[in-house]
Amino acid sequence: MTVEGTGLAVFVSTAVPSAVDLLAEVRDLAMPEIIVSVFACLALLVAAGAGPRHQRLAGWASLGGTALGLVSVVSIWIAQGRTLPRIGLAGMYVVDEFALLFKGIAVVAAAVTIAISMRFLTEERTERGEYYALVLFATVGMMLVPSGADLLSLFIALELMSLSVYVLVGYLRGDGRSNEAAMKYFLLGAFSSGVLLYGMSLVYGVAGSTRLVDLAVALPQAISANGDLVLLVGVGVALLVAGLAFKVAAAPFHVWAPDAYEGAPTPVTAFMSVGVKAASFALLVRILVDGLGPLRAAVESGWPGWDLSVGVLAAVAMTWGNLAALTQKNAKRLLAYSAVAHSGYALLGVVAGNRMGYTGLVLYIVVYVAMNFGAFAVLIALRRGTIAGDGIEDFRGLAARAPGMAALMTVFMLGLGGIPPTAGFVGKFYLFAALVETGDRWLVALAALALVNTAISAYYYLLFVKAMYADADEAGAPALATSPGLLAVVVVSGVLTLAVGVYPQPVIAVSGAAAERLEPAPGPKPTRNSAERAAPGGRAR
Amino acid sequence: MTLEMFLITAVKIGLVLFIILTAVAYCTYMERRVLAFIQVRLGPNRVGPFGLLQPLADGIKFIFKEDVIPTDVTRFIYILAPITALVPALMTFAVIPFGDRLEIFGKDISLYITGFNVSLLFVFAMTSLGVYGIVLAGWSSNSKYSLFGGLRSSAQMISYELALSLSIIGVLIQVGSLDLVKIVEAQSGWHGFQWNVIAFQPIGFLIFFIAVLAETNRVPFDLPEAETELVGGFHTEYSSMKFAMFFMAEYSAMITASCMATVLFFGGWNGPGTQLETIGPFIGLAWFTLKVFLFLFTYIWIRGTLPRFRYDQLMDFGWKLLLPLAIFNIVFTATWKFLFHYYDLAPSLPAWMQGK
Amino acid sequence: MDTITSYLSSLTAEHYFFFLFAIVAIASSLEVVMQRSPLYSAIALVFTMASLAANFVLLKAQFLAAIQIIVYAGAIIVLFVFVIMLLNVRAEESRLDRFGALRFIAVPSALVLFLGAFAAIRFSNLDTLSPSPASAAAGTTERIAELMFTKYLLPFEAASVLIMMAIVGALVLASRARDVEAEMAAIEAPAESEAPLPEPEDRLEEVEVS
Repeated sequence: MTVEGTGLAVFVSTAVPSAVDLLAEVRDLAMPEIIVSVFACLALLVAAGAGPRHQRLAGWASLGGTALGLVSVVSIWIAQGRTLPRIGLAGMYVVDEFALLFKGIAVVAAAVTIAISMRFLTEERTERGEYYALVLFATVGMMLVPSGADLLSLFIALELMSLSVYVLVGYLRGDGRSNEAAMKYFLLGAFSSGVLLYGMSLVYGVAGSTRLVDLAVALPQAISANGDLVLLVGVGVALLVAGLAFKVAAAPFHVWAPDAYEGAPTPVTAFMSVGVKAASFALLVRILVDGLGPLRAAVESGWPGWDLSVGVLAAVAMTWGNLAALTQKNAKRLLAYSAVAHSGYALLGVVAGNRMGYTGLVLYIVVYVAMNFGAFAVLIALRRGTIAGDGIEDFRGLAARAPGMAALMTVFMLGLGGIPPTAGFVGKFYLFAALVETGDRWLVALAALALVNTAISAYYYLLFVKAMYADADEAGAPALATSPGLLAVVVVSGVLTLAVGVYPQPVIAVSGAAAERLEPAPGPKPTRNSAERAAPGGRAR
Repeated sequence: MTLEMFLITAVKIGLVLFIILTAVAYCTYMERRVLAFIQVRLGPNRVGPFGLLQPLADGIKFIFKEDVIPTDVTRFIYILAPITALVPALMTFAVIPFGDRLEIFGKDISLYITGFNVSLLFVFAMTSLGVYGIVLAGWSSNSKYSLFGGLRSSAQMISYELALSLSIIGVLIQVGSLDLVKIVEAQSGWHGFQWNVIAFQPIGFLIFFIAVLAETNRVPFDLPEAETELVGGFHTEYSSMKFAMFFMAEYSAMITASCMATVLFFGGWNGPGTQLETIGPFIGLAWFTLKVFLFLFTYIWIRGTLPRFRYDQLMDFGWKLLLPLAIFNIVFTATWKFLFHYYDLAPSLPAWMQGK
Repeated sequence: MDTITSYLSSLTAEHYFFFLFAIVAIASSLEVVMQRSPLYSAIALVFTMASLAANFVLLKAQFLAAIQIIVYAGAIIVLFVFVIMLLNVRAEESRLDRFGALRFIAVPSALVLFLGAFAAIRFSNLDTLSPSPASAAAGTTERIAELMFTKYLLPFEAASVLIMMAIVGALVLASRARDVEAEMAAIEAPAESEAPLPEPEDRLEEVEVS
């Protein structure tokens, strides 16, 4: 009986009260994730209970889950806005405006994906409730990523997201392209996760902690105490940057993207290009800005900080993505390369590192969600019966067949090209202006390169417009495969793209609030005041 | 580590190996005699009095038989397989507590080779490695009977390992330790009868025992070596000492399983009389041996009376009955433990039962 | 010579065991990668896991060591072997020639990565780092359980969602194509089947992938 009373009883009596506290924190902070997880399981149950003809019920259940999740995110922002940022769950989880905004993006991305999937899956004759559950599981990962305050929780959230998306990419099992895409995406994704993890382990070894706040303090301290360590930290940071570049598909780490985008079911491609991309950028910002912020510039003389490598990545990604997109015939592949280029643009915000840059990054991702989802929704509507509908030639004569759809597609293309008066222009303007504002010679040159790239990209975006309006109608092209959800997505995306382009202040205000707590790069330049002048909404919350 | 400790441990290892291997040999004798008794035959009774020297004769026969290695086998793995089967089976005995501490020549000696804080997991780790011997033997023999035996075995062992590991969680929750010695010590109450099987893991024991039958490939779960379908299963192509090693591995796995059932659920060495001076530990040892013997007998008894499962029945039984039952047992035990230890309800229970 | 002797005499038994298991781990993991026969690769992986577990014991993380063997060697690799046997996967032929040009990129990249990491660890004076506050109780089951349900609650729960998702994903990828596709096709018009059922061989391969 000696064993009975000691170890376990002591453990229980100490652990249970703290467990109760933990549960309270979970209730306050992590409710959106819990709601979405519960609805994912609910969708599974519905899928198991409903017959093969009623699998769409699971889709509606999932849609309800995303709606409730969005309500929960918004209510946390409204109810706890004054107490933010809140760090909880033993320092593993942070809730601030940045996290909440990206959670909102994740939930919206999931809802839109589900809405545009329903008709598509019927066309493919593979509507199964598990599909919707997998979308929701990926969403849980995408919601946990921006809230990660610790390398461990960040990594597991990333894997939760990635694994679900690997399966979704290979969802069309009868389609060889889908299988190949899933295989490539899985292998390269697993490899990049390994690279990322190796970087994390080296950084953890030096800092002695996996918490981002500890990393920000411990790494510079360790290096200043012992200059030798700069090599170890450097290798770790280099691996981290490479792994993150894989995840955001920044060239030259983008090789998986074209195949995965092309082979995946089109709604999943949309989900990847929007939701996964946004979450990957949240991961990048959390690790590089929150965790490794002090290593941005050189700590030890002679060693570059990560700003150099990220800047080079941004330049290469923009140029490579745009040049490669010029030659594409397949619309999904083209949009994949365009997504690579857009990753490059978004990285500019991190490189600039001032408040305007961060605001621009968040703003860019927000408007990118609207534009890209719209474009993909139109693409999905072209999928009909035996017609794959993902070549540029499928857009021929669309203006005659479906003038409204063609007009909205034009708006999305103009937006992606960054042509005013669309939302894409506002986003690009902020990013480029942030670079110029730093005053650094190299960064201004980078902005110039980005401008040149924008001009290049306009060519291939306008190819779609030309096909729709100038080319002759395809003989016997069938009507579009639309559904109420898909139409709603197209219309709302189109309206948002235009509205933000014309009256961007509210979105700028929200983005500014989300970017407000990101640590700006230290520098002699008076970035702060000018950033606030440029971003009047920055403090308006 | 002093030289003295080293020597004591070495002696203990040698002694345990000797006893276990002898026990394995006499298990075969017991199996044949008991089966014969059940089937109203005589069994081996010619070599020595009551056939008691039969295992010795068998051993000599195995050693002197020609060691046939078929031509098309994957030689390296073919030779490796019986070793892989036997070594983990014997390694489990390193941590099994056969008895309490003992004082010999003024030295305090524990009746187990070693004990550490996760010795239970060590046993499970070693038994889970045992499957490789069977699988590799089946694959390398280049024979369809062997291959099917190996495949069946790996599927079966993985399926039942889940139920097996979950069945002991109840004991772990109750005792709060993964140390086998502590698990035995925790069952010393009630004059040596506070066994876990009585209080309160009967379901856990039932699942454990059934799953262990499957893990050791015994009837009614002996599909990997079903004679009527697969000739000899995974060891069809083996002969001589290699065959004997599979045999020894199987029987030592049986002994391990009996020892674990004794330790986890039947109080280990606990029983009346173990509190006595001087001879207490010896009585404990006797209790332990008796319990293990009874389990071995039950094994043979079951073999003599039950038919074999069909493969789908085997899988259904493991996944759809044993596994949920084991999970139920965990939830039940955890709830019990939580109520009675966190809220400390145990002392008030007698009063409550008397209606006060 | 003297330095070597003094170095050797400074080693304890733990050092020898560490080197033994480290060498076994490295050698067997090389074997995993370089072996052509998948079955030998799987067996070598068992050795890798076992020697890693042994090194965990040296780090006083007995629980982790036992779990490593039970989970990896006892369950996951058995499944690998099971699948290899079930599919009768033969040793892969020398198909690497197709990637002849890539080899000249891959090998130097691997070398650079290895040398970079090696140099970083070798030439950094790691003694200045404060060791993590590991105590004798760090690797015990109680301590791990406590951490798992307090400090690491979020990763733990997220990991369980992940495993749940992985089960669903595996079922989606591996389940027979009969269910929805066939039933929908039967219910609706037996129209053009643009998504033909996979060939039996393909199905087996998909099982392996998942």
